[in-house]
Amino acid sequence: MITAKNLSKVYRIAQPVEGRFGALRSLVRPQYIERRAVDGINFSIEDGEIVGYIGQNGAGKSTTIKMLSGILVPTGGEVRVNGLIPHKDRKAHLHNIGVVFGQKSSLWWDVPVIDSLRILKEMYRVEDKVFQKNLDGFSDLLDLGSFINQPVRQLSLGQRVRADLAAALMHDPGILFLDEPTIGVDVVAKERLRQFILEVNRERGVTVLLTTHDMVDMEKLVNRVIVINAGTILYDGSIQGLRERYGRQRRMELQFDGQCPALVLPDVKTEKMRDGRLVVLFDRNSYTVDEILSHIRQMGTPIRDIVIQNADIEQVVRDIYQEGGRAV
Amino acid sequence: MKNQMDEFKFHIKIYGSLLKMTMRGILQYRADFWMSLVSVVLLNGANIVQLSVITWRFHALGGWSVGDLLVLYGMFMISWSIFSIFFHKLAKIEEEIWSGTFDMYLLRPVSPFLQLVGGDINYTGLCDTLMGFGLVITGLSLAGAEWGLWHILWFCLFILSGGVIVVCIRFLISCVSFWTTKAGALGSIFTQIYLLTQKYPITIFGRAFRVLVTGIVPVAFLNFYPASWLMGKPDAPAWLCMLSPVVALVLAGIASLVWRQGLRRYDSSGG
Repeated sequence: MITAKNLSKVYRIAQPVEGRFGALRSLVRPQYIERRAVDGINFSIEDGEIVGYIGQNGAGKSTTIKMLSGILVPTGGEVRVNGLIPHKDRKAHLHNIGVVFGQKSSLWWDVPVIDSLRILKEMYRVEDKVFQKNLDGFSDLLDLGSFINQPVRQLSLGQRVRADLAAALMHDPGILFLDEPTIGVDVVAKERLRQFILEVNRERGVTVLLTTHDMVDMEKLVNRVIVINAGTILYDGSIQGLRERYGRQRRMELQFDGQCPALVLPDVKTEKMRDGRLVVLFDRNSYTVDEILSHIRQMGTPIRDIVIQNADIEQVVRDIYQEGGRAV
Repeated sequence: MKNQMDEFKFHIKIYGSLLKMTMRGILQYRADFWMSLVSVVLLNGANIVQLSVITWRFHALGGWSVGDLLVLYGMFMISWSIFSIFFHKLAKIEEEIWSGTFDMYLLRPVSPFLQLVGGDINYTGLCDTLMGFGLVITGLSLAGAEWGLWHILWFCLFILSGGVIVVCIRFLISCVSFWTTKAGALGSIFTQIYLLTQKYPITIFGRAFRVLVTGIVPVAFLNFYPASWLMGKPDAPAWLCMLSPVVALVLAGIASLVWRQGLRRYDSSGG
């Protein structure tokens, strides 16, 4: 169980002091500017959930993850993970969680993966039996065996993230924080990571909070989405709910026999493609498909083919960001 | 009490494992390992030549004979090598904060300090240790000094205290990077200071400098005060010379407080 109450983080960024002895003056009287990275957010995550935490770069995602992990001390509000305050009960808290940053490895760079896993075993005081069981299990699921004796610096990105995931789960934590775990990983490796995360959630009941920019991650992994923008939460709920609330836009793609006609209707966006196709974007609450089609038919050019799509989640999220949260 | 003892033993064990692993990582680059060792020996040779040139030209420096000076320099080198072999990483805190790797130390249920220092071992520093002992022994025979058991015990205590003092000063400087973007400027000021105290008795400098290296950046407790007393110099009262273990303890206390505050203040890198 994870709860954030009115949680906020303000960064004080030291500004370099210009002029003579600038470096020294900045030591004596440092000058700061403040940046509000997380601004009073509230949420609560139950055991066993997989929650997607999304937002643009700089929206406050990583800052939140770092406060939940105990790396950062919140400026205001409260965060509790399994009843513990992460930065205060640091050691006890760390036994309950596993953390993976897609951008940087938590493993030791110059030694084989297995050495890193062994030292983590010591640090977390994992029993031999548990360690062996997890090692076997993860070797199967993540195919660690093929690179476990290689130093981390020689691994591909996909292998490295797999190694990091195994490392984060060696001590059987109940909660997993993943900060952009699939970033930069190729499609096949991504799919494998997703399968693994689902498996860990299903078989071990691990609660997962993950940040991602990858909308396929969202569609395949997540039962609940929290959208953050400029430090505040814009949406917290199911993916379907997100679509219904923001994703009312439909995308109609028409292929004509002959000249592509111009369609002019209020609140309808059109885009002519190079090969004579026309893309029409409209709000399904303002127009029915039939209304749009009858307008086009009046223009006389025969329609050869039509494709109508839901806005995909990526489009939905783009809309939210652009609106800056004003629910439509 | 028993719990604390267990915790202490646990950390010692982890430290050992970390060092073993670090060493394995280093030995992966064997060529680099030998090259560094050779270059350190050469560098030290150059230092000794420089010292002998200096001491030949000024037979006595502020009342210190060549032998005294060798002991002064040797003690500095031994204490310094404790820092450079085992605590070298403390000078890299700023870098680790910038690159974001510092986060990782806060994600494992073991003291971040221990993880930091366990992550690097600068074996080339061992040459400094040996060279330092060489200098002390040569110095003693040149000066014709006879040390009894009492002197040797104090010598060991001085060396250890000196090690703690360097480690703490460098550590405190690094901790500044929790508050400000750059600690580098302070680091180079420190270098300028110890470059003077490592080879020369501080009595040849002005009063302001002596106050600086005694009370503010107490590097004089690394070698000057201990060597004064051990070599029977009249430069400083005995009680002041023997204060170096106390200075070490006080600095260690300050460093531990500042470190804790720093961790609370830690902002990681970026959002």
